[in-house]
Amino acid sequence: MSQSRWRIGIVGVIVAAWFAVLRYEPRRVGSAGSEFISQSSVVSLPFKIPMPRQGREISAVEPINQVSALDLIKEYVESHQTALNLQPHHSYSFEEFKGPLGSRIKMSFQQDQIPIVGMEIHFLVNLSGNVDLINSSYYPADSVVLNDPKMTMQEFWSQRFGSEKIEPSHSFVLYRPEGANQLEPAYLFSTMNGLSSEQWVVRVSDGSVISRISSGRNW
Amino acid sequence: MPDLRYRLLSSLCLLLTQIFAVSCTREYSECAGPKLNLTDLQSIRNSGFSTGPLSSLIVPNPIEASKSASTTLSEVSLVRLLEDFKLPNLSNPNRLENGFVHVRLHSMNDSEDLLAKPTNGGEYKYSLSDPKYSQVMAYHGVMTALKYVEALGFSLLTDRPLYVMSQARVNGAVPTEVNAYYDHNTLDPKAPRQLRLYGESTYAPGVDREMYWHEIGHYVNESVSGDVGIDRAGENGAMYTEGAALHECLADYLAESLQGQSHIGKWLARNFSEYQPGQPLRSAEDVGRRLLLSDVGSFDSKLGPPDRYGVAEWCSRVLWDIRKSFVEKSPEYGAMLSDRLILSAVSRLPKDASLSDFYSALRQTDDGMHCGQNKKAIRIAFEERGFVATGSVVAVPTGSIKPVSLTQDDKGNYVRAIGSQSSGFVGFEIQILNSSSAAIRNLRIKLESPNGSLNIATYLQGMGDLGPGQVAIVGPAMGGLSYAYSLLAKRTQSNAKYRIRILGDNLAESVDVDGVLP
Repeated sequence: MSQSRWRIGIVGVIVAAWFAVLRYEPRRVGSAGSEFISQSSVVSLPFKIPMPRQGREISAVEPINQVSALDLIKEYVESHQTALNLQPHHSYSFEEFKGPLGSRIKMSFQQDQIPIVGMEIHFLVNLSGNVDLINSSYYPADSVVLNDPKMTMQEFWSQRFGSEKIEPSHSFVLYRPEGANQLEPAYLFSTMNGLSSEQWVVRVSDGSVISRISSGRNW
Repeated sequence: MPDLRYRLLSSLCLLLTQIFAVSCTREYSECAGPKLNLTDLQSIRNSGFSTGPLSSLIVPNPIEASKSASTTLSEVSLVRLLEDFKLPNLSNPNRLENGFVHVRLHSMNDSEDLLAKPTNGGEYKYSLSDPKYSQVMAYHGVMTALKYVEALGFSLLTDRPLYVMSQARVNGAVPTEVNAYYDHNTLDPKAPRQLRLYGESTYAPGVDREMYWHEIGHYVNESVSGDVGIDRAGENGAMYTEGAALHECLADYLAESLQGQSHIGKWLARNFSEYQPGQPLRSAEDVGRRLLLSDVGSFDSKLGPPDRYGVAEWCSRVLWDIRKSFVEKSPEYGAMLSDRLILSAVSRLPKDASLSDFYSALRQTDDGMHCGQNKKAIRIAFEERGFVATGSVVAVPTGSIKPVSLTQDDKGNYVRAIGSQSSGFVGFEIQILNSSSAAIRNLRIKLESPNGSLNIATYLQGMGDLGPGQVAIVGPAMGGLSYAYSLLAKRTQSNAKYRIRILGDNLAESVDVDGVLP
């Protein structure tokens, strides 16, 4: 009887120790990440980012206090071009947002140095150097043939507003409409509508308005 | 032998004590989160900057400072409430700007004579009625909030300049409306961020620090979340999403927590007749009975989806409850630890975030930052206000979806196209019936273009919680909401395919409806 109590006691201690170890085990990439992947890529992404292996591979490189989160992600992206289905005609750049528990890395894309709007990959890297989340709206869209625009911004502006209003400064971008599988050469500019402002996305090929969105948040 | 036993026992006790002490220390340091310079943070909260030209301001606004609801700017006795503050980080002592923040009066292109300049002694001191006073308040307010967020450990998005207009005008005209806007200008990589306060009345918003703290809160949300677009759908025309409510909630929370008061907008509210003098615009604490999510977060057959500010106020009360639990543990530093936890959770949010995403992010963040010690308080704060994190899965809703050709009337509203009027725009008449016995949580409709033949403008609309037996109807022809609440796209070719997804936090999976436009 007393022997069995000892056994139960020993097993209890082992179980408790095991739970204690588990509690301090650095967190790995797990289902939370997959949840976001599936949320952002249900239809638009025809591929799966190799998420489950990613955290271990990255954390195996070096602890984050010696190599920055940005370097870890750069290294990861460089070595997983195929797995991520990154197209050679898409170049990319990174931006890091640091926080107390790690960094958020935003990966933006360009083609021929023209910014692509509507396609990004976000990585959330914790202080242990593991990737907690990946949220992607990247699509391996075909390269856009960049001919001379059929409609200039000036032409669009004078057609739509005449010469009374001053033409605003604009950007030339490749725009991916929400959920679309191709990019559109487009002009982006802002105008005022009452007290709030609007951003316009205008198709270069025919001057049609792809999107007109309000970006203001008021009180 | 007894001596040896005694020694062994003593050694064992000593060892156990040491192990216990070490584990306690480790527990404490590991669960306190990354180290913070709390003294510096406290100093920033009080705007106690040690360098920069001196300014003289009444903070946060004359009503709060004087504790008198009837105070106006012209009251002579207000002078006694002026406090001195240093203006940090000016790149040029003669202008209220630095490498990122640029303060202006009416527009980005103000003439030099409109801009605040230091007086003879190198100080920025103006009378309260001088428009230049509001510029000084703008710089002080914005910089205090930015410095605070940075000191909490967050980097800020400074890829584009931020212009702050303390008395904004459109095309030089004095606005007839009092309001405040933050424009992130998400899409255009060249466009600066803009914070614009409109109104030149007796209760001009430009003299109120709370206004800057709320609006800059929107910038902080975008910055801390890595520009992921926690309410991207709202920017694309959605009338309501939980992401929009979260944006407002977090902006209110930042302003309220920095000020250390559980309400916002007593000064601004004086501009609106529906508010009594001294009544705040929104409050993070209950006035009377406890505000529940069901009071503000449900779809209403007459009014439609919830009001984002109503849900924001509910959410700010949840956050204030969490903050109170931190302050109870540490009256001196609890507010800062609460702010850091909440902003860290924002850094985990996905695009078009929901309240459920935020709830999970808060709890996950607390795991990483405080060993989960506050998870219970977080859960209680949400649940006591009627939020159910893991509600029962509800039955698949039924209903109908019908595409309609739309055109815009002379006011820009979308109306049903008649005959050959078609402009290529397509909206949807949608009817969703919740036939289950529980509410569908955070009901959303989402539009996708499976073969890329639609240019989607409004891709997501939030409907709020749809109660059991309730019907959500979009489409005036069916007696429902206007097409502003619909999904909106422009077809780029004939036979365009569409997919409408009906989403809910407690639906087992989305209900997908595919179709081809006639």
